Amino acid sequence: MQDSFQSKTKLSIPSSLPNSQLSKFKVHGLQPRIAASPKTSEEMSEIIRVAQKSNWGVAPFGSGTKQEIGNSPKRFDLALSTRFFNQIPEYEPQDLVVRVGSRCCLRQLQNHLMADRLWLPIDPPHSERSTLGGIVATNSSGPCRFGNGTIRDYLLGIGIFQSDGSWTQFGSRVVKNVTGYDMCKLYTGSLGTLGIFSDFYFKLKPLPAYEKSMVMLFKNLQNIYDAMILLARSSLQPSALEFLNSEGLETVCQKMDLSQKFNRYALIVRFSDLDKSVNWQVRELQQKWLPYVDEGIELSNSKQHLLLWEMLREDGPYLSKNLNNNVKLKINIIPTQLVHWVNLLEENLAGINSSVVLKAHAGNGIIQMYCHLENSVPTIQTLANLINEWRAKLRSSRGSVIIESGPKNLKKIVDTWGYCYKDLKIMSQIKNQLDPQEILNPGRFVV
Amino acid sequence: MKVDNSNYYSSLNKIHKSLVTLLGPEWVLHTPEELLVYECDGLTLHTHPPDFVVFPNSTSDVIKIVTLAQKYKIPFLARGAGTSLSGGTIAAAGGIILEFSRMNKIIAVDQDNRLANVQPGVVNLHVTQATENINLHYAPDPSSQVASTIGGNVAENAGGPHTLKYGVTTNHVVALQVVLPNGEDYQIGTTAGDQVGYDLVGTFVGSEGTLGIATEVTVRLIYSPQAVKTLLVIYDSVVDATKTVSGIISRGIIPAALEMIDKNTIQAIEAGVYATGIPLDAEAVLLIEVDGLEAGIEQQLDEILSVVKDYQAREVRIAKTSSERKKLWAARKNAFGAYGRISPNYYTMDGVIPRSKLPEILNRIDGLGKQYGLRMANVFHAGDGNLHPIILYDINQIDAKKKVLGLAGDILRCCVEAGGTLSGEHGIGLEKKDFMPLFFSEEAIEVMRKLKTVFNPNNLANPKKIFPMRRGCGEMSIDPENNRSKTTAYEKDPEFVQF
Repeated sequence: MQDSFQSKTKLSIPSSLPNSQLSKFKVHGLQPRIAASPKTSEEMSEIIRVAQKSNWGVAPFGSGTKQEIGNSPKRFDLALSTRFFNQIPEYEPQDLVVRVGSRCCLRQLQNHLMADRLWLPIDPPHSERSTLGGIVATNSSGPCRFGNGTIRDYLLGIGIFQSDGSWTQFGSRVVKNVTGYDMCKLYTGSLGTLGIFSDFYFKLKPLPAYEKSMVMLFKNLQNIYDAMILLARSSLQPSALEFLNSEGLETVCQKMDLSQKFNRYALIVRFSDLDKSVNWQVRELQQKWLPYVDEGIELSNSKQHLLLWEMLREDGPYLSKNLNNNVKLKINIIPTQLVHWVNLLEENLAGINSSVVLKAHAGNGIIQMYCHLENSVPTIQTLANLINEWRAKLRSSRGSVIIESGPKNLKKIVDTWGYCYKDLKIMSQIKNQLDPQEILNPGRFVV
Repeated sequence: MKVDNSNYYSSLNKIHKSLVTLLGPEWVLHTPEELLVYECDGLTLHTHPPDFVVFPNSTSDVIKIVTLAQKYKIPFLARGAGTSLSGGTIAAAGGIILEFSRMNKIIAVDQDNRLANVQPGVVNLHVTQATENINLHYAPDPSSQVASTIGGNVAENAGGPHTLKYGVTTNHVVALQVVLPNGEDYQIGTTAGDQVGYDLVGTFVGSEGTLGIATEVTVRLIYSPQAVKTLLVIYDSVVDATKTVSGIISRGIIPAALEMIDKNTIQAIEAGVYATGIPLDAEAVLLIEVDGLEAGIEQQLDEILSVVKDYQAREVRIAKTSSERKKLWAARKNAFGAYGRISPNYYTMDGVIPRSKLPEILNRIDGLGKQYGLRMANVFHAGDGNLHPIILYDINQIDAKKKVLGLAGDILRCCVEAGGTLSGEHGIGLEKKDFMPLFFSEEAIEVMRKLKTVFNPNNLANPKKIFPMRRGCGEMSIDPENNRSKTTAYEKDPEFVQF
């Protein structure tokens, strides 16, 4: 089929892959008509030029961990693997800067940097498999964003193939730069709709000298609210601040073999600094939160500590094996409204007949909601209605609800992104200018 | 070539009347005497007068002015305190300057979400002053922070000494209200979690007024450090000072600031009111600051002192009190002003190089200065590799300006060849636009032009900035300095008249 497709279009695709491999490149269950894995920049440029000439829908492919995100593609003719863009061509530990191919896995990079006690300070999910290309394309983040920011704050330079196949570079290996527009920001989180990444320059940080975490259990949400306000008004500098509802806490405790009473909420606070500073902050937190906390568990550099943060980072523990029933929503709120929203979500979801895990990057105002839906029309319709209601409630604060994963039937009746603010018009115009034929991930993003 | 100016002047009259109707006569300047002060900004090598300077008081005023500018196809640009060092607020093609001194309110401070919503005319330092009672502050602190405004900082993506640890403006702006060049206003960005869709705030910050005008800015505040230690380290060798910089960073310590001052600058400072008693024969000085919690600050300091010792510092002074600390910083932050003591004129440059190449590049820059027969001084953000070579000159000497610009160009080439860029914090503006092809491919410049077209299709918002003049397609280079007469205003420049 691939050969006939190519001969029909009278175009040859370098480094195209055999038909037998097409099933590895599915997006939302759809298979491309052709897949290619260019070995050089010249090949990549040539393939994109062909794609543009032929008006193909193109999906860039790293390790595929993010392909679930977004709407189904409007057109999907070509899967373009970045497999050969997997090098670490430049690394200057003295400058705290590294250049990395877009297909390089985050884990591979972190292992490389570990020898110099450096790291790229992000901890997004799928950490074993996800590639830097996918992480930049989705602005993927994890708990440590509270203290360290997101990949956007570390991206210094970017190599990118434009929709006409030309290769361009923006930014560079220096840590401060205002030369021209900050295109790195525009491309971060653009879901492969503005170009295909070849490589990046990242700023690095030294690994923290010492770490400790506190799992703080609360009987009620009001105490959580008070504790968070107290923390916001203090000099403490946690590197992460996570929230779990009782279902989330139960999942974490079971995996970690902690025998706790689960019918409580948790705030998990991580401190990463010099040992003196970390120990002082732990003591200070215990003292400040004493009136509010039901019970506290302290974990320091240990396997349990690593496991805890793996559980808080990954989606896997909260999803069922039946992929079709899983729902994961990302709800963006004002951070101090966390308790209000947890209350509302729990109340609204009480009738949905599924346990609902609420996990939040509490300090950043990002709630992740996981549930397993019974695949029935009324249940899906109920959730769809709720999503629309929540979106309406968040409108005044420019918040949002994104369906990061969900059954096809849900995505059919409610838009994945639900982005309806006025600036959508500017975003559409940017897409039209930079990808006028709409060949890059057509239809998958907000524009 | 004779040019008929009658249409032009009749348009100006109509525009003037409309502006007065919109804002009242006291908020519209138009006589040559009134406009003189707006001919240039911190970049004094280039000048060009605007046709009008107006003082909006609200987003709604800005919308009306921009809509009017679109109607008459007259260029416009925003100006805060006019401290831009790249000519960002020079009306290079004439037109209307929107001066933001009336829009200087701090609208709201949200202590628990650590945010401040401010108007663009608010002075940078005033945000910190308004929030210090709740132990918060606004981290980006350009040397101009006592004067420069948040709107200007957003346009230029301003940095400052403390950005080594805390990041530049773009890392601290979460949402904006903007008026686009077509007169439409938009909210972009969000204070609620992550932005969905393209990062328009990140794209807008640092766009030097070419994508529109910010009329409200929501910035992130950070907790003020419990403890601060400031050290002044004196060296007999520039190389030892620069090696100390890399030594500190490679030990895994990120100081809050790491600034370097060279011999000529020391002499200028010591001749002025901010003298701190640095020996005049010292070759270089590092100003190092660490901050954080009380617990752990001594540990950081000990690490730094051990690196300093490794590189043969002549003397280390540690500020014991807050007033001592302020004095050390005053010397650094007022260094530019001090050059007036040792030279009739000076030109402040801005380039970035990889930190590890500091010794090599400083040496090359020194050589270039000698080649051109010009004295140089250096005071810069060593921790970021952000150089500020200062060219000292006397404008009355023959070919002074030509030589200065020649040397400046060679320094920029040197930075780019070393893997660096054209600007770390001053922006491209008028100053460096023709150097853009040194750093960007033609294709990359074209991509940025396309982005600009989305926001600014008629090129009326701050024209003649950032982009090099096109050579072709009927577009041509016009040097603003040779076009001081009214005949060269917007109607005559094919670069931005596309209607």
